[in-house]
Amino acid sequence: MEEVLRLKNIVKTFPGVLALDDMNFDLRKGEIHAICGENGAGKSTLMKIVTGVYKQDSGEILLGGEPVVFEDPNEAFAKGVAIIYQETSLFEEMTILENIFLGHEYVKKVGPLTVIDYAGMRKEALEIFKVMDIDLDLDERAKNLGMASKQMVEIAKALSHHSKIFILDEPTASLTQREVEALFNIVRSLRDQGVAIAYISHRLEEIFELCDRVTVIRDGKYISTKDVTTTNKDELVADMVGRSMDNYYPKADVEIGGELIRVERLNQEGVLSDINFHINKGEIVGFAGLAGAGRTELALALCGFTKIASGDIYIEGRKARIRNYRDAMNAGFVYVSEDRGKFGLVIEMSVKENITMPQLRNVSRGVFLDNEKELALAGRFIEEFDIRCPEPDFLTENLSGGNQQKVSVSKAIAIAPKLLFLDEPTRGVDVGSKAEIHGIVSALAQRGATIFMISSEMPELIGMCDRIYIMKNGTIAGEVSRAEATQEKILKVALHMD
Amino acid sequence: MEQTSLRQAPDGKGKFKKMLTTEFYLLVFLVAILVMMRIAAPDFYSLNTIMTVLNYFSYLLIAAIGMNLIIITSNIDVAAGAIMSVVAIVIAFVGKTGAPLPVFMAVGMVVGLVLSWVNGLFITKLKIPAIVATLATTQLFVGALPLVVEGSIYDLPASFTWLAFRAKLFGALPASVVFAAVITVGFMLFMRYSRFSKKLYAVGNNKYAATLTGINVNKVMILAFVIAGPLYGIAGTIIATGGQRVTTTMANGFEMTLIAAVVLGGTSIAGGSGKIIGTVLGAFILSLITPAMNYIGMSSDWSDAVMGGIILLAVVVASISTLTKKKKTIVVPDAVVSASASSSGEVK
Repeated sequence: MEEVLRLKNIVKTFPGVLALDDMNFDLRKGEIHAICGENGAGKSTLMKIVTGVYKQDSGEILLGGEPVVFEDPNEAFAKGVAIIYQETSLFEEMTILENIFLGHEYVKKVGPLTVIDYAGMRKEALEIFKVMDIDLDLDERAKNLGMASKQMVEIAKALSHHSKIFILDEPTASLTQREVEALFNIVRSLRDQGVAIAYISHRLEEIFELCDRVTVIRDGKYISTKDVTTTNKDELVADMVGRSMDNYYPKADVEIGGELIRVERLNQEGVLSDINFHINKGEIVGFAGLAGAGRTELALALCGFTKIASGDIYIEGRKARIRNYRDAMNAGFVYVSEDRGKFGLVIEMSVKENITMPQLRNVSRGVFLDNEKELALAGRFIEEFDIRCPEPDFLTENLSGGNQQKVSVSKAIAIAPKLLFLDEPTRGVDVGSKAEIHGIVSALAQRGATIFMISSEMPELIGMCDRIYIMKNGTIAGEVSRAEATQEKILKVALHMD
Repeated sequence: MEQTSLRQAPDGKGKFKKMLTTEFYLLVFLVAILVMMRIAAPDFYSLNTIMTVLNYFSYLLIAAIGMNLIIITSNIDVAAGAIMSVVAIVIAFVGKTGAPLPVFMAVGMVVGLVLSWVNGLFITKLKIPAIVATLATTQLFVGALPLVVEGSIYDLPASFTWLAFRAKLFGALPASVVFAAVITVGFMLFMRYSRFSKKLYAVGNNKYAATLTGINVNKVMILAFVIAGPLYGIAGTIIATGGQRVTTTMANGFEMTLIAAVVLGGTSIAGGSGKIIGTVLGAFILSLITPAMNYIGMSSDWSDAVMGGIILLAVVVASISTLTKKKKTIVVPDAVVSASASSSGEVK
């Protein structure tokens, strides 16, 4: 079969991170080629390079055998490479017709004027819909469409550009089973018409149902490319996981106490269903799962940021009602967000101000802040966690990612929480800071804190946690103890095999 | 595997329901006011009153169209009134020499264009939020005028007030109304048939996605201001030529009425939506309020409060209808899908 796209030895670095290392990928006319890998394996970075959003540091992109350089996404689009993102980029207030043809409207001459040719666009759009076997009202505004319809419009838009290469980025993440079937039919019919499709997914069932070939990548490296007929799920999982466990995790043994929190039959419409779990005092409990499995959503619900529909939460055996974050804090819960820039820190403020923020009452005298008390509190954490700042009044935005994360964690620990929710505590921090943060987490547990830890890095969970719950599709799909935890076991449950 | 296809959900919306747009409700409201006035105060329908209402409506509408374009790109312009005040003074200087309407109106349009362009540059090139940039230039324009002119320019010649007093179609219809009609029709066609108008909406909807579609966001925003400027110039000219005296504060504060007309007309202040026809209706309703209240014997002190009430009502209705609207989803035939019944089981 004719090769339409080849990526050769692509390298891409971001400050402090090697995102893609000698990556290879090829795509043939009329095939559906899956790209799979764990969260953070580099799938999205790779596709952003193909579509011109990022530029590679080295390596080559060959389009139909010719080397190309994409300066921006429009150039890639113009050369027939279309990407359909998980979250669509439609213009909500505009109609389906306007969305499909935005930027390349059909025009005709009326006297000296060039005007938009609505009739022509309508005809073409209906042709495309016929090919896709869908029927949507062209005058409907995008904001009134559901997720699946929006994706159809995105596909129609790409077809209107006569794109020959489609990249679908986790297209089924927010679709129902029925919508998935319909999408698959469209994708298959596109393939049969000679379109080349790169299909990013970590749902193995889908890959075997839909795709012709599959390329596995891991930690930014190319691992393998196979025909789906000659491989199986176990082999793919083994490729995705690798065998390495080379990080150092200073998990100390801690005496586990009685039950701190128990959650029964917790539901949140469309997000979480029938969640049951418990955490004992002094435990570090991990929550594993793929992106979108509902881990962050669970933490947010327990902390009162979002409403739960039904279910009971018991704290130390007593039934608790958590209506908002204030209630959660009174119960001793503190949440540290994965997005520290947005939700964890006020980066325009100093290290001192950030650490003292949740407990201004304790560092005040009357209505005024007491600078000495503030400095004492902040100083304690700066020293203890080795936050590298020249002075407590240093602005947090000027710190490195790892040190920012330490400030974020300090702020949470400063109010001595009973249960600390850490959401991806080491995302985007360098290796050195990672180990330090792991040290802090372990030291906290030794001092009696209990930790709810969400992480997409399985070695981190396996290395740090006493127990690990595995989430999938908004529910808890399994549990493994420290002794029996392996990456394969976790991934198999997260991918819903067996 | 069974064949499934994507068909749009029948939403039970007939053609009639589709007609129930913001514009439709505004039209009903407008007709209601007109009917009420017919019953409550038949005198309202005198030629003189109608022409006064239409004259106010014409310059309100012309400037509001400019404001509408700016708001569609999700910006705002609170300097519009100040720009029109500057236009009024500048054309009074020109008009005092006896220059005819085409000359000083052209000058007014150029002044409007340049000042509005400056606003656009501040907002795009220096990334100053529109409200801050135009608030600052408002102060600057309003503050500079009294330094140049002491109070007012008066004893303007008949050539200056020709537009207001002499230029009448069929002996009655003010020429300003003709201007407004031509401009409105022109912009309605422009917003439907020009490719540029799609870019205005796209930028207002989602700047990032617009960039990815190859739209030069800054250029589109600047052009919105550049187009609005001459419209302010024309509106300012109509305001200034209403009498023999032009003061330095003639159109100060008028921007709020413009924004009100645009918002009442269904344009979201968040940008990305809004039609010219809505602005036409919004401006017409606002033009009626003060004279209508006079005729039914209410004090004009009430007019601002009534206008505020109407605008509040309009935005509350709009907000409720968005909050209650359901998203359309595709229907997949005889769908019975078990709701993600994932079997849980511990890994052994």
